[in-house]
Amino acid sequence: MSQSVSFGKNLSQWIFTTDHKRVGILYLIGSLAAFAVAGLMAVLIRVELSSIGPTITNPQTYNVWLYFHGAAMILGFQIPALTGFLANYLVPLMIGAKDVAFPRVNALSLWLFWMGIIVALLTFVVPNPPDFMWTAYPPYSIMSGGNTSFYTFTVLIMGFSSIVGGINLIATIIYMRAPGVTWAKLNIFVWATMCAFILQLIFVPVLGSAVTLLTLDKYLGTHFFDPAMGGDVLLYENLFWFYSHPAVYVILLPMMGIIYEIVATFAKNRIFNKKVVVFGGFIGTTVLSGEVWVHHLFTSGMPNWIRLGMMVSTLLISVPVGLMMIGLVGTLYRGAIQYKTPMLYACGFIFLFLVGGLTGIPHAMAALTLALHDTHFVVAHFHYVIAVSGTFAVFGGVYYLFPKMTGKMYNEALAKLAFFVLFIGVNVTFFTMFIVGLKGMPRRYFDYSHMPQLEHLHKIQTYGAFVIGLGALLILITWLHGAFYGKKAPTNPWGSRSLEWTHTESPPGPGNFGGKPLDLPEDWDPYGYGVNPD
Amino acid sequence: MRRRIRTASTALMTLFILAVPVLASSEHESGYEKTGIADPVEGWNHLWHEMLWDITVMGVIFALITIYFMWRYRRRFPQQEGKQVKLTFAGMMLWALLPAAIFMADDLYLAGKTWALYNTYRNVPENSMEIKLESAMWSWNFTYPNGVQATNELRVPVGKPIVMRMKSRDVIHSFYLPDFKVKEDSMPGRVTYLWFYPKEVGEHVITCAEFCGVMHSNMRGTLIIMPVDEFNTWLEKEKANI
Amino acid sequence: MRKRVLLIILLLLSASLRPGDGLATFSRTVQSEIDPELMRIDEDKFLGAPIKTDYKLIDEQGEHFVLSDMIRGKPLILLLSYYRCDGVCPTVNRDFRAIVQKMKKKKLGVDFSVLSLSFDVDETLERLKMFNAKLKFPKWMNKGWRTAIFENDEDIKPLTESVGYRFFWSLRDQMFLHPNVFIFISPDGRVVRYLYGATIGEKDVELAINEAAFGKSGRSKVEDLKDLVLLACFSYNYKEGKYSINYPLFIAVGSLALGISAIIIALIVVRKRVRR
Repeated sequence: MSQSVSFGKNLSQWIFTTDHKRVGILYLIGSLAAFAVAGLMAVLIRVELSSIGPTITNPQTYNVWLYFHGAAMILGFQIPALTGFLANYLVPLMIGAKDVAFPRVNALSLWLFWMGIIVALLTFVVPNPPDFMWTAYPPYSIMSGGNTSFYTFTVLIMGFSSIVGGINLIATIIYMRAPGVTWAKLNIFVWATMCAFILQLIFVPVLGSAVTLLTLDKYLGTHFFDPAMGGDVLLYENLFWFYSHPAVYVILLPMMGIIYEIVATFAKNRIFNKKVVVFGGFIGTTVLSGEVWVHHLFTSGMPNWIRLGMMVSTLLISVPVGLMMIGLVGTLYRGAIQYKTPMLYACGFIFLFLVGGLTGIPHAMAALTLALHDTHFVVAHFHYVIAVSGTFAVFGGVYYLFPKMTGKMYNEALAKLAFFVLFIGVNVTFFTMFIVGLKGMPRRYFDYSHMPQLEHLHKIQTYGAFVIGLGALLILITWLHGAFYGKKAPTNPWGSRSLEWTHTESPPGPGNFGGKPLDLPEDWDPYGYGVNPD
Repeated sequence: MRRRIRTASTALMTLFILAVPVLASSEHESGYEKTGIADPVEGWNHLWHEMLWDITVMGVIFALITIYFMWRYRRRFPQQEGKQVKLTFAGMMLWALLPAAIFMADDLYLAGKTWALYNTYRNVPENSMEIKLESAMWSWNFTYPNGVQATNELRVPVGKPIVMRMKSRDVIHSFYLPDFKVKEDSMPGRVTYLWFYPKEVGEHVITCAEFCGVMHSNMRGTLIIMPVDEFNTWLEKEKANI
Repeated sequence: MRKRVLLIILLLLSASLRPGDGLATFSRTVQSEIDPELMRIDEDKFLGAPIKTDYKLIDEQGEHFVLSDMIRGKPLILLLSYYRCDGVCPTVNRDFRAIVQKMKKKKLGVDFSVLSLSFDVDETLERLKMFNAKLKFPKWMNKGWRTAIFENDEDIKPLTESVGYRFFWSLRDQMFLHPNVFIFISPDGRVVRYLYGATIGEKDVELAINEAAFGKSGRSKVEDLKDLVLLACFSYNYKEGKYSINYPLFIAVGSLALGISAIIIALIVVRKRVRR
């Protein structure tokens, strides 16, 4: 009896929490729920494609799966997990603040996010679920029987949640740093988060207005995108990618940030050329991100010279991203690398991101894209560069923060096994996908009976998908096992120098730093490893 | 110590710099051959291989360095800490500007190559035949210059460049010829085009590459390249049937 | 409207009863489909279509020239008329002359040319000269705007058909029924846009010229960029036959501004709060 009362009390404490750590964890739970359902969709999609012709479903249902997989993975998992969970949990701890600037606004952003997740999940309940992919290009999204408003509401709610959270965290980073936490000493993850939120604040309203107009077109009979009435279909594509390409960097920057944290901690090493990584890499990407979107429209009838111009700006993205990668590998140089699970994820990330990043180059080259665009090659590329890399960053981050969040340790052996299963699975699936795409398999296909020579390659991908699924299950088991039966964690199991490990309990209490004002020594540095070299 | 990193960096950079001109040897990136008609497919294959070399060399160098570091700098004893070199200002700028310069050089090099091929792709040869395409959910409708119409089966004479002038009746589609390495969207309210060069007699797949609804994956066609006489006979016969 | 339909039907019936009389250009399909929309140009079919440009023409000076002379490097506005006409044709030409005179951003002879061309088989040079004189072109316009007739009557049908232009001789009214349309032809000889007589203003003409000239070789990229912005702000409304403002773009730019100002305002407000 008393237990259930305390459970109810506990639950309401969690639901009505304004504590940034709990907000972060609730973000994590919500985004993992989205990941689980969208991941299940991915496995179903792979099963459907495993053989020619209808395998387990009809095209209509298949399109809904594709829609949900895309929309939920990006809007429900990647962005909230990286900018919701990690940013909310880590940023105040890293800058020595007792909470974010506006804790109750933070709770609002969390609630909006959960509402967004629920609206997205309703896809499987409403009679005519959206079937027009997460891009929702008109005129199809206007003509389709699918429920466009659910898509629009998901985008608007998630977008609003993200804006509210973004303003909050930017304000927190600027005004709530503890004395001694200067801009120069700021953790690299904090920089990355700030850049990501700036992008989000600038670009989300554009997508918001575009999808709103889409809904007006569909339900209120306006003609914003109707070509017969002076509308322009190409304009929607432009507006959509004007947000959605920067959204890629909203995902990329925090994932780079958390990987940097993990690498620095487990290599016990200073970050190589940190200033260049921050100003050249992060801020460079932020500045360039808004000038490259036309590479999504290289085959969409844009004027030729605009395509060539955007080709150059797209290729130039390799400069900041290259600087980030050099910084990352440079951080290994003369380090003392300890291969715990988070570090395995970070190393896996480096290789996956390398493959993904380099295969981005042919997409940027306008002439090569004419063949590769909208094929499985693109799908493989963005799965490597954003989807799998981002997921590795999130999982690595969860393992990294696991002792801090739960106060318990996970089982290292099981976690490592799960990592290798996952790593093998993603490479089998997505590397094969490159080959299939190169051979001309268009994306979003339900059936490929006119390309029967690709069937065995599709089969391999499906086997890979099952391996990924197994890996994900093992990871879930590791986490649950760790959370319930894990050994008690010390406050700083990894020996990090960063504030969230050195100055807090595991898990940190309310107010984070025990109510005492932080007194950081003059030479404090979150990466102050090997203070006296040689 | 500083000398060591400098040697390492010089070696790395030399490798990068060497890789670029080695790849730069190419004569027909724009795909022109002796007939005078540029064949984009040839240019595409050529550029693709060049690009593949480029990214493979870069990727392998990068991966090898990473693996070496991962092995070489593993922790030897507990409490060991890394001894990252502290870069001077000059070192910092070197490590920012040199990679940036190399990446940019490679980018611009690839962009230049692409430019040539892209112009081949988008500049239609003079003596080409223009076929109108109207795409609709879920079929391709072709209209030949003499008014003959066909659905899903595109017959063309061998050796004559074909321009598709495309529109869509309903939603956005994309006319994709996997074997000819080319695609372009067709959409309502705008006219788009692409061209390809049927060099040899044969059959090829036409398929839709832009999501267009339930039967998207069934929106297919066949490109049939015929000997010129055969094609002319067919066209005349069709014309007579109108 | 209904009256006019009736009229056309009557005309067609009477025409079908009495073939031969001035009906050389009569469309073959007329007898089978009696449709008030008969003269409507099937834009879907003809937009983007290439036209032959080697038609031999004669202008009001009696000078011989080829159609391609008119579209060298700049767009051409083709205005099909007939010079016997004492009603609509001169008016349309005159109204268009007024529009061209009013245009500031695009200059006749510099940015585009205009060709008034007769589709009447019975056209004569005298009538052309009279027609041209009636229009009273100011001198500076003569270079960019030519009025012309075909050298060979057989060329009339191929050209009008290749732009989807249909016309009929009305026996009762002793006049041609034909659409009053301005056909915009790009420098590479393709139909880019149709604009219709009474509805348009100089803005529409300028935009259509932009559209025809956009992205063609030999233009500076700065010019193209300016056109791009303009063309993005307006888009052609097929229903109304003129250009309308592309609202989504402005809404999107507005929301972009909203996003940026949200950051700035939030930071200012927070700064004040923190200082307090």
